[in-house]
Amino acid sequence: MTGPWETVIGLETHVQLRTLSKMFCGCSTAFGAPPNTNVCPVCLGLPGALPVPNEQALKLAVRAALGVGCTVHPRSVFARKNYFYPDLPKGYQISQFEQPLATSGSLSYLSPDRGLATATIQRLHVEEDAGKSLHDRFPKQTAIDLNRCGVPLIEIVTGPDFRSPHEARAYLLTLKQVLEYAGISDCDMEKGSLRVDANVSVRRGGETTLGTKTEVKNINSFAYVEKALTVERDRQIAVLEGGGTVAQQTMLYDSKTNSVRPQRSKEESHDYRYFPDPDLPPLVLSEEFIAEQQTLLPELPAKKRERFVEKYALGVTDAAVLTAERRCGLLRGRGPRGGGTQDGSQLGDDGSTRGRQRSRRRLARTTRRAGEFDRTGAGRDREPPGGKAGIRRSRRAGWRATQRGRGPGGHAGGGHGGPDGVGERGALRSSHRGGALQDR
Amino acid sequence: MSDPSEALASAKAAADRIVKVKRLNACLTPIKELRKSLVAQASAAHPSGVLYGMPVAIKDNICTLEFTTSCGSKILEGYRSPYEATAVAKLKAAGALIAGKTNCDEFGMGSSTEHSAYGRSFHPFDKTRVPGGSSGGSAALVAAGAVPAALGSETGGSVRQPASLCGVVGIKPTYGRVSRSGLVAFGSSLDQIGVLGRSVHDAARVLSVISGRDPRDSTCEDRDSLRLPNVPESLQGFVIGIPKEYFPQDLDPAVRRACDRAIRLLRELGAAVREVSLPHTAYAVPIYYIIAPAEASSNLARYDGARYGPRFNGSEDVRALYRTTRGEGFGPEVRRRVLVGTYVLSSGYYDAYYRKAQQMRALIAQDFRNVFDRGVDLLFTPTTPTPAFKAGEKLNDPVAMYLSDVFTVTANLAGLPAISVPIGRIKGLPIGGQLIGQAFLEDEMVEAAYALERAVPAGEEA
Repeated sequence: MTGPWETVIGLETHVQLRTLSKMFCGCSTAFGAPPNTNVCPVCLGLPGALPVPNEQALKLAVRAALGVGCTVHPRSVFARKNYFYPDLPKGYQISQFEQPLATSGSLSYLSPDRGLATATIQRLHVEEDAGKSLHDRFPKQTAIDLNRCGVPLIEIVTGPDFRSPHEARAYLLTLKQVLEYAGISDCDMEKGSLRVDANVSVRRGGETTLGTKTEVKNINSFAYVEKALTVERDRQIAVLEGGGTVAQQTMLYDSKTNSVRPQRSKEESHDYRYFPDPDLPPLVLSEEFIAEQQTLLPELPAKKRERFVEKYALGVTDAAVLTAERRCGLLRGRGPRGGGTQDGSQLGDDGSTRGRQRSRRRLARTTRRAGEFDRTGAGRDREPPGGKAGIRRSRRAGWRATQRGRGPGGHAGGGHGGPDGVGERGALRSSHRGGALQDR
Repeated sequence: MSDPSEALASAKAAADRIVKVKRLNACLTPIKELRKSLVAQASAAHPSGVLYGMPVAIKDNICTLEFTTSCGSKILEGYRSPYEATAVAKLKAAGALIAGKTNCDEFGMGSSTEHSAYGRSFHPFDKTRVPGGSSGGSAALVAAGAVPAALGSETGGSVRQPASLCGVVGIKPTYGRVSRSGLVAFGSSLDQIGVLGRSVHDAARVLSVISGRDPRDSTCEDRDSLRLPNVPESLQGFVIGIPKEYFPQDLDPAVRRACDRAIRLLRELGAAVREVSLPHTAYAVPIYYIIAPAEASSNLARYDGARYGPRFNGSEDVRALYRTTRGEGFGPEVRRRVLVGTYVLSSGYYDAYYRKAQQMRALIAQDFRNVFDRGVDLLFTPTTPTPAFKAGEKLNDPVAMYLSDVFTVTANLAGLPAISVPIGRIKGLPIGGQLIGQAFLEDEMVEAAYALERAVPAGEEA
């Protein structure tokens, strides 16, 4: 039996926020440091150490939420997600569960199938990253690197809104664009600063109930998003056409063989025993704080695209190309100056091509001169210092300043790293002193 | 005292006194190490500090740089923290000497100090009895006169209960008054570092030093440290409530007599005494034994043998490593609570247990607010239902053990400050009376405790 199958995809995207220090301690978030050097009692989960939220991360998270049209809740709650894993030193991850930072957003994107389409954003919440298990460093042994542990993340969850793998990819590129525009994240999938899990199901055309879904994980580059989802869709269709049923399970994508395999059931079926984290008071954000983040959002691509279409009588596709990269758009927005379109078309792609870097340099020069870049603040945090942001005042722990001494049993923990000055930098000031320009 | 030679003399004398009471198994630090450290600390101590030269012992679940922090558990045997608790750092900054680590129930889970991996502590007046717990080592050391004060910690009464049983003063401050940074977590929403002292003044001045804001603890209030009140002439103007639920029909008659005497004295001091009601009191112990284990099950997940502490099996399989390390590293009471806590947080049970317990907790806090809103300043109750009980008596009856916290858990659930002051003896054994205060009004509570302490013949039979 054959028939037109409809694919239904929802995405859960984890995005690393572009901060200098971690979500709940003063350690550096720098990528590529020697293993277990950017760690302290808090992110190592040593007995008695307590989390203190990074306000800069919260600002970026709120901006992200506003950027995807979410309602930001004045009160949200950090929760513990409990599970045992060697790269999770506390035995739980601090996340948000019942009361997330933001809900009910939407993001419009250009679907290759349907033209302008809208993805619903069900929720956006803040959490901390886990460490890394390195299985290939030592034969038959697993090494643990906790540098990434505690790095701030947001998770953005869509509804089951995409009808094809390339539609899912188009959404993801739009999301990436928004987050890059607003200086929220690097969105570098290769470095893991953007990670995506997909819920995939298929159904016969015309059916209104959803088929059984699987969760596809381990998609670690933009190029693989479409491939992985296609492989899984085709697998499900083959199963159903063969008279079988799709089992609800987690599938791991292997880019080398372009195939998916079920995750061992032992690794699944967690009961995470979520409960509100008693170490962190509910996150209360004032209206002014939220409003301030709104003003710090630059004009986002969709808006700018509309403006370009209207103002310059461009086609939607041309406008999309021109607005794909923020600085390119800015340049164009200031009037024709040559070369921009060519660069723009390169920038329209997702890869970090050399052309993009080149154009970045040039654009940065030009826009610096023009002054617009600085005024809108891409890549730089320009909030006024001080504690008027509406968050319960909390200064960042100064582990580095005072905590020297023996590491626990000679394990990781001797160096409580972080760039100089992280120690006394308050949570409120966590990124603008010391210059977020160094923040890449 | 600000003469360095006096601090040194104080350090040596403290070490001598601690050696003398070795039989109590109250101090876990080996005496040689302790003596050496005390002498070194005395020469480095800040002479201008308000606690200059005062030896203060520290419960073993509070991180110190000087000594190991094992929490009375095998799973942290020999663990040295690379940082120290804020409370300990503040003590040192005030010139105090850290006088060793004291025995406790494992991770603070117990009411007798029998649940320690390092053997039980003994009551200073009767070796067949327990000193209470979980801060039993701290209470016993203070009661035996080895140190003027010691830090303990409370989740459900672990400072006040042993203070009552050992005849010393125990203060549990308002939740958020003292930083929890460096206090090894048991039930994070209930935990608070407290002080045991041989007098109200000793306990209060140590509390004053360790209190105040701390950027390392998001639950620590942004407030100045506690201001020490003067010893009052009278309690004129104080309204003291007597909650009837704390004086049940079956209360030990001797405890009732001791309390009646204390209430009479409070009245004679000029306080207005009136009976009040806290209707949800009966639910306190059951909900405490949902909330505290739930939080503990998560807080204790980090002890898995992967990063620090001993491993109990070199197994290749990480699941087996967890199982054996946690199975053998934790004692039976900790295992029991981790299991209970895991259960009540499980999907399908969360609403029935944890969520409901939190709702009840809010009602208990509301009870207190209602009473305080009607003009009551402080509440007076017995601290414990009985004086020190025999070792082994409740060891195999967890519920009986849990009920020894019946008068103390409410203050933890409501986050309120409370103090236990000795109010007499029962067949030679001390018993304490408790004053519960309003949030962040420890000064009023201490003021009343000063007056009560002065008036009550604590050494006399009730």
